[in-house]
Amino acid sequence: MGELAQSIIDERLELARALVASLEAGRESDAAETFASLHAIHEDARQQVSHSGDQPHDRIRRFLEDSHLADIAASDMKDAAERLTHVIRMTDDAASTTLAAVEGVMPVAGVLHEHSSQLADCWERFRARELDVHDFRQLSTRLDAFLRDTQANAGQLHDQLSKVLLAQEYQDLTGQILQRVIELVREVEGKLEHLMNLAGARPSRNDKQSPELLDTHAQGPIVPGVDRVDSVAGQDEVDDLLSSLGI
Amino acid sequence: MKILVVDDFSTMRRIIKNLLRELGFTNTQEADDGTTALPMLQSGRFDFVVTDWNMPGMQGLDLLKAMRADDALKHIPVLMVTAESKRDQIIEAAQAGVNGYVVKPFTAVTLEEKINKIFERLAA
Repeated sequence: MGELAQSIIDERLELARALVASLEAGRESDAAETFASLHAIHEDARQQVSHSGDQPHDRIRRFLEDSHLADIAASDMKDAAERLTHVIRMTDDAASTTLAAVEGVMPVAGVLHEHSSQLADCWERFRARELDVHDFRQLSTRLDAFLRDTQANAGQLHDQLSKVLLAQEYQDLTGQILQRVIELVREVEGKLEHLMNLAGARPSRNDKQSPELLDTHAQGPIVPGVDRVDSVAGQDEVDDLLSSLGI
Repeated sequence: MKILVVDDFSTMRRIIKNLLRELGFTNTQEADDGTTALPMLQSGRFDFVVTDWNMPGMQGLDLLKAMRADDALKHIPVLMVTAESKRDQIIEAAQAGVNGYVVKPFTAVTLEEKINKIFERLAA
């Protein structure tokens, strides 16, 4: 806090004395006028005091106090990391459930395919009148078994596919959690920008590539519209590039 | 034919194992990082490696380089299956001695094609 100019201190005291005098003498309108002047000086003085020592670091400190950045640093960011970890867990579980259903049912589909192919061959021969009575009885028995098995197998296929269907609900739930984290990211972004402005820093232009993307270090899947790098568009381009290198 | 599948995400390892099984390759083992894969390769007798690139401990590219620098392992064909799709990365993998490169997301058909191509080349 800075110091008030002596002249202001004197003026204020003078006006205060005049106010008391007017009030004691019952001079209402004088008192009201004096009161207004006193109020104006008081407001000015207050403004001066609060801004007189105002360096960037004061403004920054005030902003840090007012903007809840302390809360954000202490708990919101940690929460965000926990939320994202939870999203990974949920997607992992959903993938596991789906894969388990698929692994359970692939053999069933395989068996269906195999048996139906074999039966089809037999049936062809029957239609071409190539089967004798003995063969036909065999075919009959196998057909019976096949129809029974297929009912059971189709039921299993149906159940597992339902499991796969339900497992996709993670997308909705993880989407909602991710939205919250996105909100936090936007909030922090806004506050950081404001902080930079207060500190008088110049924001950098954002359309250059960040340095890490310029080397061949791993960086995960390319996000369209976000990552602007020289990447291939699909397996075909990979194949072309590799064959141009002799692979 | 003993195959090592290396990826830090268990889901992806599971998908690849399943696809390999569909292709008739049932003798597969898994590693979750280049750091765990290398000792397995050095002590086991693997004939083929399918590896991701982006892994926290030792990246797939570094695993490949380590294999090519090791006399006991340099002959083992390596197929990279990865989301890394920058031209420079593909070129670097090729220069490090990768035998095939599949970008994610991929199809079963693509995986089969690339595996077959690698073995055809080796047989030739």
